[in-house]
Amino acid sequence: MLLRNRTAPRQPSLLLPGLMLLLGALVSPPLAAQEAEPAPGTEESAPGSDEPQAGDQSLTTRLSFYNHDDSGDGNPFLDESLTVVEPVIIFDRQATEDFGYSVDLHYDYVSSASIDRLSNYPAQSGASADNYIGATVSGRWKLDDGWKASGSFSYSDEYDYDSIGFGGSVSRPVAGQDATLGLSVNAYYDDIRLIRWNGVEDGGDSRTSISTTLSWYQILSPTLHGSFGATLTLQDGFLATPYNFVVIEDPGGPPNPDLENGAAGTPTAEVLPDSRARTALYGRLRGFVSAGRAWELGGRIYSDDWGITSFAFEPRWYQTLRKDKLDAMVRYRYYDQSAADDYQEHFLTTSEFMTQDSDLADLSSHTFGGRLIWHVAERESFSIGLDYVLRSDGLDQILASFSWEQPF
Amino acid sequence: MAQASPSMTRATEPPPPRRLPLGLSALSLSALRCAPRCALFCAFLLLCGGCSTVEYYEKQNFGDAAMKFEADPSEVHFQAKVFYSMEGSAGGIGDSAGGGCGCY
Repeated sequence: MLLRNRTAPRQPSLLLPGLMLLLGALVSPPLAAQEAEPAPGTEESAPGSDEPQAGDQSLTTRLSFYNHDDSGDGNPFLDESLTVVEPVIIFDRQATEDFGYSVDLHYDYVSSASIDRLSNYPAQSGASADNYIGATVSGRWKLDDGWKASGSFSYSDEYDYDSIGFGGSVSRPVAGQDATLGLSVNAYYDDIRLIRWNGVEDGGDSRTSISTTLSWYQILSPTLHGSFGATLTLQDGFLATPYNFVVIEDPGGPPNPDLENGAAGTPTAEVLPDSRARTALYGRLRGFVSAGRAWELGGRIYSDDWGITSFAFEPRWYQTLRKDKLDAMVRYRYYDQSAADDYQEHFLTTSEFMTQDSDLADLSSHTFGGRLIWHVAERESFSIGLDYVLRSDGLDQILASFSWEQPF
Repeated sequence: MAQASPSMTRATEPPPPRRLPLGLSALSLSALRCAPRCALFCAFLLLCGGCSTVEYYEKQNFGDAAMKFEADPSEVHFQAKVFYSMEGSAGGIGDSAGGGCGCY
């Protein structure tokens, strides 16, 4: 089995004291909580008639599609084409005025060149496609003084891993300031089968991810509100992609027929550090223009200790095309990231950590998309969404989705 | 069915782990690095909180359908999952799309 790259024993970090400070801010008694009147229609507050009533229940059926072809760019040694079809069923019930729950069932059908390649090896001949199944059960509670809490449990299974997740969040109004402060924590434990690019099974390993988000919702003026947040994610364990390989090139050697471009070289396993700390600061502002029209500016700044920094900017326009019947949204997203320290397009010798994963390379993208929502009746709607992603490395992508929400 | 070629044998053994001074782990160092940024951001949030004076009767615009933040969390989830899998970064609006490799 491939040995993991263990770092020195861990010392207590500043994370725990930081979290305790945040919790302290949350549990301190709200000043004149009775004055914290929620704004109608905002995400953290009571939106009047849209607020589910006790006994309300709905079923949402959703079908999503994702595809990208490999035009020859990206990783030169791999065919990176991929198709994902994801049906989702979400049952939601507001059991009482103060408690509701939902059950989400997800299934992904994943067809990719990397899986096709695995199926060529006798040990993995069943890997003609990857099937992901997942379920999430979550509950939400309204507490005293405007506090809200939620909790969730999730499980997912795929050909080469199982994952268990727990999550919880609390939010509270900030009295007299038209604001809501929230804190959420999600933790995942993944059990991974290390199936290598050549079909060899290299034993198993695990990965733990803990993600904490501090969020702030704020009404800034009668026509402007926004949501801001910071996310810190810590990951530990096997963080490479098991079947990714790196080609150690030998310019004078014979062509290797097993490589996509017949290059002269020898593939070896991708090796990446076994810990990663990721921080993201994000925000978005939504401004009212006139009845049924609004703009939004969103953005995110990200950095991690693998050397990746990224920036995303996302303006949107919301328009009601027919009152209470048809809503539309169009959006554009610009994304730019720097390469991970251990990424190189070409390797002539091995190094401690190495990857040729094009998703960890220097790249930028432009996304154009939108969504139409048709309100058939009260609490019943159809929506259709479409996005096209133009990537600087040629791995352009298409995302499409269709969903139907109905009460029953 | 194709067989693995001799050149595509088991992965090479990686070199010894990277050691850090003073017994600090990589995660501790990362938390130390991001602490000033997080503190700055928290200060920004507190400043935001102090600048609002909107009366309740001025808030009717927030009930407009166009002003409501995401109405379809499953769509946010799907897009976050795709971007998480296909980009080197994650986090922010939506969620981290759960555990698992997310490495199509």
